[in-house]
Amino acid sequence: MGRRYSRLRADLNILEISLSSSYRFPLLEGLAFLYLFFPIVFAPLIRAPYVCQFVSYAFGLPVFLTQILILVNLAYSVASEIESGLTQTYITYPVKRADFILIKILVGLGVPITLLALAEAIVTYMAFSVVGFSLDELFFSILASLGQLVMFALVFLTISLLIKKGGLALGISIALWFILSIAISIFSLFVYFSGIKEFFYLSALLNPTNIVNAYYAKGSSVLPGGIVVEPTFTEMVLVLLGHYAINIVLLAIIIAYFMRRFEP
Amino acid sequence: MNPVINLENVYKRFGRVQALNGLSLQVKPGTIFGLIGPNGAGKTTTVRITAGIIRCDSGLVEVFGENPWDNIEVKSRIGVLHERVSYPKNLKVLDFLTRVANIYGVSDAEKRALEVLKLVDLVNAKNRAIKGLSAGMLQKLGLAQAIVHDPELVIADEPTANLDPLMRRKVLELIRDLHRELGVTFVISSHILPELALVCRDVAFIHKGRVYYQGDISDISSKLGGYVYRIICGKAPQVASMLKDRLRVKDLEYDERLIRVYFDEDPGPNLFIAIGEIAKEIRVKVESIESSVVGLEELFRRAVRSG
Repeated sequence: MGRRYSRLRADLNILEISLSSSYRFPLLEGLAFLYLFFPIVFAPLIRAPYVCQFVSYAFGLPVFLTQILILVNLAYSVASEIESGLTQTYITYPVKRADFILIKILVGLGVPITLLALAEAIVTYMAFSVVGFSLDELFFSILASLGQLVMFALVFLTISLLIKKGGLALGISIALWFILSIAISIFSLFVYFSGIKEFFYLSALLNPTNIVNAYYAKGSSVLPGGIVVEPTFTEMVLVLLGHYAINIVLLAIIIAYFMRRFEP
Repeated sequence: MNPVINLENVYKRFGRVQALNGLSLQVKPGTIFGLIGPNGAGKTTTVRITAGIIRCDSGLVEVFGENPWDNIEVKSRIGVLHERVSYPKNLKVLDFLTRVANIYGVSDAEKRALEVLKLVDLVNAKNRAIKGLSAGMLQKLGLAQAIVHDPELVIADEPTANLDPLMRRKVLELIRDLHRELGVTFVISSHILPELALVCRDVAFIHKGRVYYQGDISDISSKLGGYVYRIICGKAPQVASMLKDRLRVKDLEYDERLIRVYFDEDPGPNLFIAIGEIAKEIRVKVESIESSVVGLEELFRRAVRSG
């Protein structure tokens, strides 16, 4: 019996096992996919003259469903696998810890987010191809729509890694989801009534859809007192980059924790 | 010969629990090494640190001369059977084992997986989903995945846990046969001492996160072993004290009714004569006198007591 170890081959095998375990009966994914037709059917009814508004209005439900999907996926494929001892089995094999957690992130977050992004792009393109729109508007709209989803997903992943119990991780993630959503809403209200532009940019770091809407749908973001927020292209890109930088830092913390401290 | 595993002064704490408390042990290559200790002694923590799954707080941990934490080189040379076996339950037995062989880079992985399934007597279940396997079959699959890449060292944590007596014996015989056929070094942890005595020659007694004794079972027997007599009688403390004055006793333990006397050499009828005389003198009733060679369980108790 010969042996020729390849790190890539080892990773691909773990990826294959994880994919087949997580998406064996993709019932929730199927439902989410069906909901993606919702915007196509009702696109003419959605009064959104701008792509950015269309993406944030029309994909509210699919994004919500994807969030649930990711939450359940992480609780059961990460926390439950730690609880049952499966993660311990995997990291006994010659697989780098960093590779393993990246595979888990790819399966738990990457797959549903990529599907959603693709669907958003296709449906929006179909809805607006007659009117015509710029590709950069589509690109930044989707990027903003997915940013917060990724942020929530990374928080769920952190909880799953720390709690290590499927059911409990799911319960805590749902509770935290509500708390974070309410906190962001309260902050947005505060920003609106304060009428301070700087706060608007700060809140856009957590919810970048606002700044993309403010840039492309010019004149739509009006604060009390008639203050109109009209960010420049550079400001919009900087806020988006800032938002994704927060996500990258969160991701780096998760990977570093898994590599150095995580004990199944 | 360099040890396969070298642990020196290893400490590990989980919250308030000090799981390992200065544990040191060495495992020589080519042996079946037994880690013996009661539940909570620190066996599983030792196994997990050795397999690179968790880190110690302080101390030296070396497997094949290297730190096993996140070390692919070390991991590809060892196979691990965990106490709590868990595999992707929807996969079929052969599919799973083939994938494990692929992870280790085994050439012709499926052929090797089939060979190993034959070796552990699980070939008839090759097309069954893992979730449909019995506890004994799961344990065999655990062994199969631990040896599929022909490792130099296999670490098995409580390999007979949750099995019925017949299956326990089968699993231990399988380990013994694999050791004989493949020449693999095995480290087996267990709290069921007589079972380990069947397969292990080198043992370490672990208690409260420390190794109390390590060596060849026969060496330990000669140092701590000998002959033990259990005497049930009235006024046991008084009888014990008088017995010590009359015979060459190695060690003595007693409570109100039971005396345990240890001898280097079998005292034979002298003990019965002495007990008879003492019973007459202080007028006590002797209910029973039983003798036996000191077993592994007794050795463990004594090793811990002697510290």
